[in-house]
Amino acid sequence: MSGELLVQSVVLGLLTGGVYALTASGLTLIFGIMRVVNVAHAAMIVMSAYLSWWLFQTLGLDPILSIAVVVPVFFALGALVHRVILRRLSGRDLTLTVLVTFGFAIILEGLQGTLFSSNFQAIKTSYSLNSFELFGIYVPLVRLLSGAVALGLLGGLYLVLGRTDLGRAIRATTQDPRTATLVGVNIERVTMLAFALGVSMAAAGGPLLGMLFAFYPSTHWLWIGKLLAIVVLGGLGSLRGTFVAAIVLGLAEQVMNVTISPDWAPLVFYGFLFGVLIVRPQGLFGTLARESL
Amino acid sequence: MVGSNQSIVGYRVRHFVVGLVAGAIALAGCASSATPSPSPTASATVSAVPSVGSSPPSASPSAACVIPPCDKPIVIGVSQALTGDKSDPGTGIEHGYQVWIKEINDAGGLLGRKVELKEYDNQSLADTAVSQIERLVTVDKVDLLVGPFSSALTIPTSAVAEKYKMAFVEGAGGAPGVFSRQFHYVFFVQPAVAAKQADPFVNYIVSLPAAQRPTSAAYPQQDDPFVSATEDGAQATLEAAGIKTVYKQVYPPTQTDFASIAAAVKASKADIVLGGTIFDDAVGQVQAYASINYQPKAVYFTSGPSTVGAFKQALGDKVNGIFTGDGWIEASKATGNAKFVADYHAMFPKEAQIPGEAAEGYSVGQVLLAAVTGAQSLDNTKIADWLHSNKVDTVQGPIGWDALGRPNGSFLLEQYASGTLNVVAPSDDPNKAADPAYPKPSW
Repeated sequence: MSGELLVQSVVLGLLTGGVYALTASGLTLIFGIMRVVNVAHAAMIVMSAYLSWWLFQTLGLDPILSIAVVVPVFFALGALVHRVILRRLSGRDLTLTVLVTFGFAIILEGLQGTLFSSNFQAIKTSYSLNSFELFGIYVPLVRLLSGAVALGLLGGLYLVLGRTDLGRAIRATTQDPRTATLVGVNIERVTMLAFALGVSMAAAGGPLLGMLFAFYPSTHWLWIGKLLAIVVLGGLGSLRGTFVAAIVLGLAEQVMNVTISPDWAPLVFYGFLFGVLIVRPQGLFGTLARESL
Repeated sequence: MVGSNQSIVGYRVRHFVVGLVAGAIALAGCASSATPSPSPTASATVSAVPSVGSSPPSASPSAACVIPPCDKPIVIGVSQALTGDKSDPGTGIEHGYQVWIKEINDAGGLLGRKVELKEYDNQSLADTAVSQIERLVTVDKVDLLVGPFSSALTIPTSAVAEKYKMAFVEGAGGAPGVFSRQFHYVFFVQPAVAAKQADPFVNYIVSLPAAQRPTSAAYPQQDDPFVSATEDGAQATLEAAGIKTVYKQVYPPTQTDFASIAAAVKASKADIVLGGTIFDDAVGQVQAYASINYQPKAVYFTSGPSTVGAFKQALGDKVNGIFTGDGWIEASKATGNAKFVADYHAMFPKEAQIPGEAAEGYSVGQVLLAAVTGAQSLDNTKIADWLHSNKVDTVQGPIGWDALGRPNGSFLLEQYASGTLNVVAPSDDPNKAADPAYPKPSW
C-alpha cells in the first residue's frame, strides 16, 4: 500500500469524522442536560436529509444552503416534542425515555416510508462527483465541503455554549439543575431550548450525510448505533469528547478500508471503545460524579 | 465549555452506559444479516425433459374449481424485503408477483379459485424473514409460498419451508448455500445459479485478443452469499486466463462510504472491476470511482444495474458501459413477455422501465401456475415432485431444475449504451441487440 493512499484515507477520515461529530453533538448535548438518550436522533437526521433532498428536487435549493431552512424547522419540532412528550418524562427512569424516543424513531421511519417510499435516495448536485487532486491525493469536493461546514457549525455551537447567556444557562443546568434554579435559571425553558438546539444539530447534519451517503427510511438504525458509540466513547455529555471520538471512528473506518479490510472497521472501533471503557468507564472526556442526593 | 470537567455522569448513568454500548453494537450490526456462504457444490446434470410450459396466464386453463373450498382464495405467502437495504430489488420482485396475480385472477383464477398474496415486510433482515415464514405457514396457513430477495434471506427462509414440506419457489436466491443443504422443496427461478452469473462476462473478457485483454482485475464485494459465489467463480476463471487479481476486499452490507475503497481500487491500477454488489453499493462504487476519475476498461456489477429505473435515476449517464448478468430484458422475445411488459406498465405507469427483479417475480408466478395446474393439487409435495420432472416456459426462457432445485441454463451478458440496457452476449441469443463496448466510455 502506498503512502499516498494512507494519507488520502487519513484526510477522508478526518473530514468524515467531522460530519460524524456534528451529527453526534446534539445527542451528547441532549443527554448532558436532560439525561435523555434520544434514540430518535438518527431518525431526525434522516428526516432532515429527506427534507433537504425534497427541497433540492422541487426548488433546486442547494443542500448546503438548505441547512438554513431545515435547522429552524427542526428547532421548532424539537421544542414541540420537548413540550408535548419529553417534559413529562423529566426525572423518570432512563429506560423510559429510551422507549419513548425509540417509539418516536419508529414513527419517523414510517412517516418517511409513506412520504418518500422505501427506495434509497441520495442528494446529487452538479458538483457531487467533482474532486480535486493535491500531491496525488484525491479529495471529493462534497467530502471537503461537508467536513468544512460541519466544523464551522460545531464551532458555532461551541461559541453559543461558551459565550452566550443561553450557553451559560445550559452548562449550569448540565452541572447542577438545583443550583441553577437557585441562581435564576428557568430550567424548563433552558432544557427545552437545549433539546431544540440538539435536534437542530441533527438537522444540520442531515443534508451533509444525504450528500455523502445513500439513505432510506431504516438507515437511521445504522446511524444511531454509530452515534451512540461515539458519545459513549467520548464521554456522555462531553462535546469535546464527542468530537474526538467521532474523528477516531472516521479514521478507523477510512484507514481500515485501505489497509486490512473494510470488514475490520467496526471491529477496530468497538475494540477501541471497549478498551477505553475498561480503563475509563466514563469515556475519554467524561467525569464521574455522585448524583445529587 | 461543555468539556471534561463539566460532564456529570452519575453512578446510575454509569451502569446505563454498559447497556448503551451493547445497544449501540446491536444496532450497528442489525443490518448485517448476511449468512455465511457454504462452499459451492458441484452442478448436477439436469435430465432433458419435454417442456410442458405454463403458457401465458391469460391463455391458461382456468377450469372450474376442483380443489375446495371453492369460495375461498388460494393464499400465497411471502416475506419480502420491502424496506431496508434490499428494498429496491425486493419491491421489484413484489411488483412482479402483483402483476402475475392480477393476470391470473383476471383470467379466472388458479384451478378456478382466486389468488391472494399474504405479504410481510422483513425489512431486509434474515431473522425477521424466518419468523414471518413460520407465521405464514403455522398461523396464516397459506397454501403456497414464494421467496424473498435475495440469497441472504432465501437461505434461512427456505429451511423453514423445507421443515414444513412447502414448495419454496423463489426468484432471487441462487447462491451455493441455497442448494448445499440438498433440500427437496426449493426451486430457483432464474436461468442459472449465482456461481455462473458472471460466466458470459468472463468468457467475453477471455475471448478478447491478447493485445486488448486486460491484465489485472479488482473485486470489491459485499459480504453476501450470492455475491461471493458469483465473484469467486469469475475470479477463478480470470486468474486461470492470466488476469491477475490486484484488489479483493469484502465490505459489510452496511457499507455506505466508498471513497477510500475507490481510492484503493484506483491505486491498485486494475484494468477491470468486478463489483460484487446488491444495489446501493453499486451506485456508491460508481459515484466514488467517478469522483476520483478512476477509468477502468470494463466494469461488471453482480446486481444493481438490472434494477434499471432506480439505477439510471441514481447515476444518469454514468451507467453507460456498465455490464451485468441477468436472465431477462424488457425487450425479450420470450414467450409471454410482451403481455407481462404491457400489464406491468398498465399497473405501474410511473415506472418508465421494468426492473429485472420484477421479471423474476413474475416468472415465479408462472412456475407456480404450471406446477399447480400440472399437479392438479395444492399438495406441496406433489407440486415439488412435478417441478423436479418438468420444465416451465417463463419470461426468462424455459427453466428446469435438478434434484436440488438448481436451474441449468445460462445468463445473458447485458451492457448499458445510451441509457439502455442491451443484451450483448451470447452472440446466438435472439435478444442480442448490440456488441459489447470495450473499453467502456469514461464516466
